[in-house]
Amino acid sequence: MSSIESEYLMSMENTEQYKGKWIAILDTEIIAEGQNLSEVYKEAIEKSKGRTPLFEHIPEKQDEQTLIL
Amino acid sequence: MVKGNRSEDKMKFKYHTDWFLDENKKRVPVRRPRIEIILRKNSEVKSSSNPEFRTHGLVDSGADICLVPRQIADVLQIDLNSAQKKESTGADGKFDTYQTQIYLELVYRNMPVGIEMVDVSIPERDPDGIDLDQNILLGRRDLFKKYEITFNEVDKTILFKKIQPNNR
Repeated sequence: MSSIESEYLMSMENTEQYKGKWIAILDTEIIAEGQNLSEVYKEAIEKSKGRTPLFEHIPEKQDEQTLIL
Repeated sequence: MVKGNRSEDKMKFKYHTDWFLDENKKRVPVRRPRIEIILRKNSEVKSSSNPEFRTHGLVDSGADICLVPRQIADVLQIDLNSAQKKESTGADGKFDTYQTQIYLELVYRNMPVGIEMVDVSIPERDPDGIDLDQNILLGRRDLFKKYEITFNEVDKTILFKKIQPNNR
């Protein structure tokens, strides 16, 4: 079982509006978004009242890619 | 997420699902061994001087050590002035990194599992155009010394089995 935030993230089939951005998720809500992580982090922490949101960077390229590291 | 910390002998994670467009522009799920983690500068409880960052990391048996993007290191207030600078090699070639340590926890069944301080590489700067979500790598040093890790590509699961100290 994953966290509620991780489950919510996995349920987001269409992330087009967030591509290239960081998002912060708390429960089932996106509470902050933007390209600058420091700003997104600050806004999200202020809104979270002591809890720690889940942060994720949404890929700029939405096409399926083979990952070779 | 539930607060607290614990130790687990065995943990089975489902691969994380991301959604991408296939060649017909249809959204398809892609499952990878990405697991939820929490990073902090040190093991003390989170505070304004020891913030924590919850995200996903790709378990990468091919990486020598963990790799954390520079942007995340900055949020965590990692002091890179005292860190050793080193040249690292990735799929895209060589790049300069700082070598330091970060406190790592895995999130399993909604609870943090402490892994302790782990060695990490932090790029001097994040390369332009890179998808940062794919750039948090959980490499072998530290993590793979504490857990026997088995990937199951059929079930799309990853099993962490704690290595007892006398077997290390």
